[in-house]
Amino acid sequence: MLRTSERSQKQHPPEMMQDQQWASRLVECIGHMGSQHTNSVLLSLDGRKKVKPYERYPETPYYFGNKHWRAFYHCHEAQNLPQGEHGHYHFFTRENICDEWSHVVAMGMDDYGQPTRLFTTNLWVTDGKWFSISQFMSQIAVLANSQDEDLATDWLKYVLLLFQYEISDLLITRDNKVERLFPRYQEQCFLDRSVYYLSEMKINLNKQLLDVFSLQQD
Amino acid sequence: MKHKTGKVIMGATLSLAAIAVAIDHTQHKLPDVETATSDEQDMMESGTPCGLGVAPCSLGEDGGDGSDAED
Repeated sequence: MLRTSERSQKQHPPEMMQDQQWASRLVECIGHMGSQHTNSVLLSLDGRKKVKPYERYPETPYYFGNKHWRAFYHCHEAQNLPQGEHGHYHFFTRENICDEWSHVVAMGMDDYGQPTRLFTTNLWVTDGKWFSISQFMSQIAVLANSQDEDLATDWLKYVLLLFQYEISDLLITRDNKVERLFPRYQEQCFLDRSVYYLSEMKINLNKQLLDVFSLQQD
Repeated sequence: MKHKTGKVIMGATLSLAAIAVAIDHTQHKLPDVETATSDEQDMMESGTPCGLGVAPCSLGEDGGDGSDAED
């Protein structure tokens, strides 16, 4: 996770202002969830008392960002996940409505519905194609300029916007790791089932929000 | 945004401690995950366990154009 000093070095004042606006909207979403005694994952599970492994939630897919972004939540068996991780969201994006979806990042959630890590996976895990950093940043701009929709997708939207720099770093690390593992034929990496994760970063939503608002107070 | 009431945030006057409290109010134990069947395990081992599994503009039940999300 970027520390406050690193974040401020990376950002110019307009970007910092945007961060603070997104953080404010995210806190607003969190407040609404709290008042409804729920959280993002519970909204995605829509009242289910048991969760089936590998099933995608919610049943009606999440589309947001003017239908250029998509997400679902799912769980693997506990032995395939880090201790304390209940499941994770997968985020996909596309430049045009009829384009193939591109996996961007996944976000692990703990047993109490709080984000714990961001990670990228090998291509065989999600299929589709990958976007470059510049394409990702373009899609972030699409997301930033999209209308808010509902509590569940707004929370996802503002988490993505708030962690966009961390996600960029993860995508760079992902691409570098593929180059390092398979310097001559990178396509071999995409099908190599011994390679599952390509980059990973622990996150703390509370700390991220504090960092953004601390900058605001400077 | 459809959920306009009960704002927690008040711009720069937001108490940083209030963020932690707000997040704390969203901490709820999630339902247990069932044990995977052998078919599901096979899918994990041989398929694309975290993919969308849809053609972008197919006419399938989840066609990928987002139209079903609005119905």
